[in-house]
Amino acid sequence: MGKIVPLLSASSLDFDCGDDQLNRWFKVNAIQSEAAGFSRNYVMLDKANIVGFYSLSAAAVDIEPSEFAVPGSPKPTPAVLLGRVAVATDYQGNGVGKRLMFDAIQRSKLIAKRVGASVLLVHPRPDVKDYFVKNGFLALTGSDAVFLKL
Amino acid sequence: MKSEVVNLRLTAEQKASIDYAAKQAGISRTEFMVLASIERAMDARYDQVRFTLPREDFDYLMDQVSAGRSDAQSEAIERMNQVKLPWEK
Repeated sequence: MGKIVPLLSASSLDFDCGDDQLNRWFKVNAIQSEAAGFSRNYVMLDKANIVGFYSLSAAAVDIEPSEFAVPGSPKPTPAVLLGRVAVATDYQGNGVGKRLMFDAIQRSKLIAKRVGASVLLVHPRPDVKDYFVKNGFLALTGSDAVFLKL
Repeated sequence: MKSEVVNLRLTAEQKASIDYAAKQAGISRTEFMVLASIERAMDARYDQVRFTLPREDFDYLMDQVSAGRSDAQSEAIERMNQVKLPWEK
């Protein structure tokens, strides 16, 4: 129990995190996103039940376009994006989210050993940004995204 | 709390399309517009893969990456691994 497996090996897509839009994305768009190569999704299982999921994609961090022309401007930095994270309503507040995040970090570190990527980044809703900061992510003043060195 | 107000102008055709769809969905025009635009906004947020930062933030981030994780960060991450899930207790 608590095993985290690729979405495509899950036997059902039954999932309710209490957020209609995330539910719909998971049930309708996640498979399409996988097929298009836009994200890889991982689900945590309690027996056959999906208790949470997260998605990873390749991403990049760059300076604002207005500053490209400045001499000595830095190169874009390759990154891994932790896109969507959600926990089923029956399992919320039980550490499932933290375990999913930890798994995402470990998996991203492995990815970064195969392809260059220096940070893991998350672009959370502003009201949950603090949750990521409390759990070790770095916040910046000019961005909603939070970052963690890989 | 719903404390913010947005005013906007539409063409008659746009308004008619929205009203028709809202009626089909059995919700008010306002509810429909909020739901539809929030859905679009959240997808844009979660699907964004290119992030641009002001130079100061970018430099600060790169300094932090070069410096490696602080002890506090490493501890926070390790704490996530230490959580006991309901079925592990």
